[in-house]
Parts: sequence; C-alpha cells; structure tokens
Amino acid sequence: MDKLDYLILSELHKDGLMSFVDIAKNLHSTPCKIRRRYEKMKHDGVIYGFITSIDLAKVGYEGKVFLLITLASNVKKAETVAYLMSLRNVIGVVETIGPSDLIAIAPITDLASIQDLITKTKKAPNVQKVEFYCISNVDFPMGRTFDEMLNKRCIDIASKL
Amino acid sequence: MPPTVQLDQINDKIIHLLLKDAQLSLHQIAKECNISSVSVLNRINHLKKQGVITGATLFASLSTYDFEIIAFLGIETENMADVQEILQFLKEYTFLIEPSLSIGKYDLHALVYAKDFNNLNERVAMVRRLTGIRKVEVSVWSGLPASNYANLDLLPNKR
Repeated sequence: MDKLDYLILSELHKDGLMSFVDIAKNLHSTPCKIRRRYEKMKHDGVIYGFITSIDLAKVGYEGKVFLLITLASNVKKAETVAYLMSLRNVIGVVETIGPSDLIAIAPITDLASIQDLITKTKKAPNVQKVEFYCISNVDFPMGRTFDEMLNKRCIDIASKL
Repeated sequence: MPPTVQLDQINDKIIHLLLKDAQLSLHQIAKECNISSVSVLNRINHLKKQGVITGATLFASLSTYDFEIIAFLGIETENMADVQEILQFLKEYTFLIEPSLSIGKYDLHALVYAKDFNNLNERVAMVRRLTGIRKVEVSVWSGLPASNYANLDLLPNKR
C-alpha cells in the first residue's frame, strides 16, 4: 500500500459515504484512479466493507451493556459464543484474555433489559460467572472516536511513506 | 427512553440490509423490500434527516493500520475522584476509542488499539498514571468478535 491508498482510507474514515469524486477532489487525483485503488484494496482484503451507522437513541435505546463472562475451565468457547449470538440484541461476542473469557455487547433500553440479558447469559452453556457494566454511548456500530483514531493513524502512516 | 423515531417494517428491513452492507444498491434493496428504488432512496434520505442513519463505518483489516492488538480497558477510580475530570483527560488521549463513563464493574470504559504488547503497555500505563485512577483491567481480544447485526432489534419498545 502506498501513500495514496492510506489517504483514501483516511478520507473514508472522515465520511464513509464520501463519493469517489469528492475523494479525488480532496486528494487532487481523479475519480477513476481513486476507484481503481479502492477496488484493489477491496479485492486484496484490505477493505472488508462498510456498515451503516445508526443512532440507537433514536429508536429507543439508552446505552450498551458489556457482559463479562467467565467460563468453566477446559471447555470450548465456541458453544457458548453460538448460544450468546442467538440472543436478541447481542450484537457482538469477543473472546478475551484478561479478567473474563468472553465479553458480549448488547444495546439496552432499561434496567429490565439488562436483567433479562444477564439471566439469559447465565443459562448459556459452561457459564460460571457473569459481571457487567453499562455505558451510555448509543453509536452503532462504533462512535466517531473510532473513525477519528483510524483516520489519524492513516495520515500518520501516509506521512511516512 | 422512548424512541423519537418509530420505524415501520420496511424501514426496519432497509436498515438491517444496510447493516450487512452499506454499499448495497438501491435496486437490490428495492427488490428485497418489494418497493421501488425511488421509494428506497426517499426512505433512506428521510432516515438520514431524522438522524437514525448517521453515516457509514469503514472496516479494514487490523494489519492495514499496523495494529496487532485490540483491548477493552475497564477503569476503576478512587472513591473521591472526579470521574468527569478523568473522562476529559481520557478523551485527550486520541488513541482511546469511546472513552465513556460506566456503571457496574467499572467506572470508566475505553477501547484501545495497539501495535504490539509493548505499545499496549505504554498506553495502559498512560491511563494508570492519571490522578484518581485505582485500577485498570485489560481485556485483550484473542480474535475478531463474532457479530450478528441481524440480532439488533430496531423496534425495542414494540414488544
């Protein structure tokens, strides 16, 4: 990847809906060239894709809960992950090294929705302990700080190329 | 919190399609929803105007950014600490994603990307050095998360 590739990624982290024409304008290039670079990055597996971002508050959510799940020892995590992923509103489950074995994330509407999720999580196979914390962030899938950090990273890398 | 926007079934479906792939063509969405492309465009524009759809997020491979590690930071503060003030300091660390106040096991939460374990240690140490921090717990991702956005209920108050 060269400087232009990183600058294209940087523009797309500023605005994921930016057109090739606008990117070309910002980078003093041509839309054709930008498109070619973009297609190549997609083909090479650099770019996975785009997910529409939404404001969860608008549809009635108050924040997100993080469930820290400890499993019994010597069990395969996959079964628990599959169960958790089938629960309504569980949008992600990540295997972790640290205070817990798995962390599941779900948007929440109120206290009852947290209780409901914890109860269901405790019924998941091999679960020993469930702890949780909640944040009031309602950006989905990620907030602006995600793009800002990666945008800065792309510019840093580009400046060294 | 009551929803400010009540989605109908078609908008619910449109958003779920876009959660899988924000670059889906109007034509494809129209076909899936059994409505015209113009109608899809109008609906998407309206959802943007209402602030439900806020944009699109690019996901690229971690190695592209020369990162190897992603971790959640769970931060406990001292009882008398000014959590809001600590949050402001955390927000100045541009390497932290979504630094937020939290209720439950931790008082503050953030996500961090790092080049390697040394780099992660440095970043965690910067957080630990802040006044009023009692403990920082690090949960390193051992793989990419399983995600299922089809699971997201966009009509949470209808049930």
